[in-house]
Amino acid sequence: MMLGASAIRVGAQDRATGKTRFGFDQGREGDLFLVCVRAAKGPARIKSMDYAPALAVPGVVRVFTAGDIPGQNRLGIIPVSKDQEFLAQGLVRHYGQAVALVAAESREAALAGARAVRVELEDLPGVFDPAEALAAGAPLVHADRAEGNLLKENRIIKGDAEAALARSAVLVEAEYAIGRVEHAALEMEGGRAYYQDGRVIVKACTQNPHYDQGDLALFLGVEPDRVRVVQAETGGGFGGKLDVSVQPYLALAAWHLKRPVRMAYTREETFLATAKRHPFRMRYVSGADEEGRLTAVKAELLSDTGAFASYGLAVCMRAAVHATGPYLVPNVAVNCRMAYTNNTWNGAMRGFGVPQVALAHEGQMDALAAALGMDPLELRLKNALRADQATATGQVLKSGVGLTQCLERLRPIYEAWRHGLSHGGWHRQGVGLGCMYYGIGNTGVSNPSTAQMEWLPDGRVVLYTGVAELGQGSDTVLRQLAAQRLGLEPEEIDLCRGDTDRTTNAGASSASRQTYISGNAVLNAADNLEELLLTGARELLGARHLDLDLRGRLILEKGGQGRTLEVKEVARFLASEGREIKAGGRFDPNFTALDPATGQGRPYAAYAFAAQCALVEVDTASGLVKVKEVAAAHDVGRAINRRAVMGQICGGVMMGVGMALMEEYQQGSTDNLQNYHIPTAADAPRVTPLIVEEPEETGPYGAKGVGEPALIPTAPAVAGAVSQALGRPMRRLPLNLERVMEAITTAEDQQP
Amino acid sequence: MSSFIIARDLPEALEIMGRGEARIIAGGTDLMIHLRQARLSSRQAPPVILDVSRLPELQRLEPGAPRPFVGAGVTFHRLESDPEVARHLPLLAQAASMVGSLQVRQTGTIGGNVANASPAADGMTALTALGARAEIASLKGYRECSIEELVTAPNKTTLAPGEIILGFTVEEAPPAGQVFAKVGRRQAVSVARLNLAISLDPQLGDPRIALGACFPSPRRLRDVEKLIRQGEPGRQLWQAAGQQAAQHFTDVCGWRSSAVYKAPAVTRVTERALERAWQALGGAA
Repeated sequence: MMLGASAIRVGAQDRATGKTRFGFDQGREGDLFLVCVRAAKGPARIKSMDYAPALAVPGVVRVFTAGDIPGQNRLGIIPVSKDQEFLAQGLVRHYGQAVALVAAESREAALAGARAVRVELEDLPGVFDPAEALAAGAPLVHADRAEGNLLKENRIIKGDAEAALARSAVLVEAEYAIGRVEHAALEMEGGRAYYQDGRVIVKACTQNPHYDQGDLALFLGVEPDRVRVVQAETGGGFGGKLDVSVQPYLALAAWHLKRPVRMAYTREETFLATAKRHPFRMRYVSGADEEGRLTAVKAELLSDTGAFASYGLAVCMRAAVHATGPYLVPNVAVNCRMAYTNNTWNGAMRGFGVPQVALAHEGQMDALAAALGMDPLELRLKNALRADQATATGQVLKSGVGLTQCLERLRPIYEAWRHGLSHGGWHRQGVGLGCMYYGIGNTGVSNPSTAQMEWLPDGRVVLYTGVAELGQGSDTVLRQLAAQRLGLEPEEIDLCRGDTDRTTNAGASSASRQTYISGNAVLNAADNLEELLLTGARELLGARHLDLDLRGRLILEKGGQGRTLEVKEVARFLASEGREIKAGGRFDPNFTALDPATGQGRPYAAYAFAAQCALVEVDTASGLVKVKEVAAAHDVGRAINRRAVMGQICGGVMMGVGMALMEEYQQGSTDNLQNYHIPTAADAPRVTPLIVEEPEETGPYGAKGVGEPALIPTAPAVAGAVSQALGRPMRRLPLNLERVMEAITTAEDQQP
Repeated sequence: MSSFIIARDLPEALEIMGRGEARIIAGGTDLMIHLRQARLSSRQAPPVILDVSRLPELQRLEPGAPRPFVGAGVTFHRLESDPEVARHLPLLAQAASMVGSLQVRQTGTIGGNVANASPAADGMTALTALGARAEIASLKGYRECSIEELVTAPNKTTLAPGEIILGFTVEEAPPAGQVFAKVGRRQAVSVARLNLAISLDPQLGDPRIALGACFPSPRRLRDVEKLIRQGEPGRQLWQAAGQQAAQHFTDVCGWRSSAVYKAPAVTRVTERALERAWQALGGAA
């Protein structure tokens, strides 16, 4: 099997035939079922809570409240902003927050019990808009925070943006906005936990089992080794399963009751009680010289973390870092603020703030192109970052800068679409572009991954990895990488994945980091395993300085002649000495922390680049937009598995179409998939994935990541296409019927 | 726990309904959602669920008859794929093809669509424009009424306990210039933001227009029909009719926030549908 070929996905057959048991499907006969009691309003003070009526419901075993939490009732992924209470403690900070947890012999009994709990709530003044939250005198979401409702402010300062703007030949200024988006993973959150030998074992869907273990230990007030987390097969994440969800409830109930317990969110709970994509309001001023070279970009960004921090710090910083887009911008002034409100919380979702800022930086490029009378593609090409140029944070990129290649691959398609546009009585077509870059891994912090590889005496080879597989394909890709390094077929490698007892921390399956970071860790483990085997071979042969090579299951003397050994002989030898044939690997990308005042630094070791082009048709009678085609050129460094890369691209485009046209979470009115619309097959454009391979020197065989980049350019490209079709810039997403109709009628009214 | 009864014949179904505690299930595409909501909120489920989907009376489909008849238990999929429906009642075929998803259309029925009485029900708007009459049976006998008389408000009908809709008759096959238009928030599987059923005859002597998802109950736009009867076919008339339709809508519903979208959309979608209906009759665009 060649690297880059389309290896069949691990577990594909089980998924296709319905055999896979996801976190949601965990549970056996006799398990207790857990249901949360959720506050019917917020913010509010809990005046009283009476759960005696719940205990009177047949089948109800126990009702837990915050007082039953043995450890810390403040959890969260980022160590410095752990603030999420899993059961409200006197105060309800947002509508729908859990105030109690009911355990019962059946789901029906648990639901009935949850409804029987009497909670008396007294309204408190709340704040639901981030600008209002930052105004003087706003009600505080967390009264104990010295910074008030401001979670974080990030600045990126390079050169002198004000002066450069003043000198620019053209200036464009505009505001952009995007609402909250739900991940809508196919699988709702679910899992099972039990108590055994003084430990709690939690098997649930997750994107980060080792983080879960640490927070559950905090929650229970025990050492991490008292908690074992096993990642259940996970039916999609997109960032929505990075926060813990059902896990703390499962752990708490199993810990107290010493009985197996099960919990599964309804679709309504998934909407209400998991994070959403952060909404952003963005004000941009961009300048260019007469030739269309960017002179400066100034951006003011404001977002809302909701009642809890979750991934807010990361999104705030990443949005700021990426705010100017994949272009050479000599002067930069970005300010990004993230505020607490009493909304349900926002958190990680595919792209961490970059899809939001991409709407703005791409809208600005289109506006500049219009102001300059330039073709939007030429303007982007002229400003595209190239190798040896510096990003907004002053990081000079040495390799893996593939944006110009992406744009050149798009060019013929883009030109053909532009020339073939059709406008009829009731429809108008348009073509738009979206570009992006995306730093792989966490921003300006250490985010290592570890892995182990073992050669068992019976000849089997095992890869141990903490990487959570969510459907993105990490099982397949990591096995391909290990096999490639050792000269084996992927099928010869067994996988042991996502179990805190048997694997070590690989960090989150987020930030498009696992192929690059964990891929490198796996290669490092494979190298160390090879070294271990070769050392054993030299000992067996009694030749300490022999130059040997591992080729699959053979060990050869370098240079062609000489001795050949079978690995199994070495394995037998090492086993006879009682030595384990297991080697670890580790990788942490090279980075520097960002300067707190200027945001300058090298926040990532590698960047992915992409450009997409969308062809849309607007129905001018109804305002409904159809995305007909998307061509998506992605610089992935090196495609380890072509089919998986194409799958990510097509899936990302679909998610981008939803974000562009129809998805907007509104608390209280979009509570399930009946009234929160995601694209159907009929809404799917024809997608042409174009894989660009500009090798990243530090990547595993040159690979970077594609999970989030796949989504990021789509919405800006669609917005640009609709703007072109209607002759008016569309700067607020989603482009729903109302916004499009307003643009149609306004454009007509303004015609002479 | 509800008991589930599959009625073998109409007398048995009427007898069970006569006891007054049964809810009817046909395709179940609405009822199943209600039952789930009831379960999650610990509300009582109906004590008896009566499956009428196998009653032959409700499966009758005679679109080509002198008085066309569509059984209440006929699924949308049958309506969208039956060539006789396409020939004689194209409006109904078009409306049926735009309901929900294929899965929903394979089980959801025209009778259930009307009985559920959602203001956005596509089948209901088409039947309203066709001037269809509902045939209703109970132990007390038969009655007939128009769709407007049957559905009076969102999820409210004049169906008495014990009554079953057998089907819908159309007085005479309407003319061929029929267009059903639907606007949803995506290309498929969406609830109508508005839907519109139009039929035109070459003399413009009997134009029929029903606008759905805009009013609490099904409604013919008789003022727009009158305007068309008195006008000369052509772009100006279609435009004027579109504007009159929007006027009708805002007169009835007032300028609510939704009107900012719906008023121009009704204007434009009506104009386009009339244009297409006229083209279907062989008229110039």
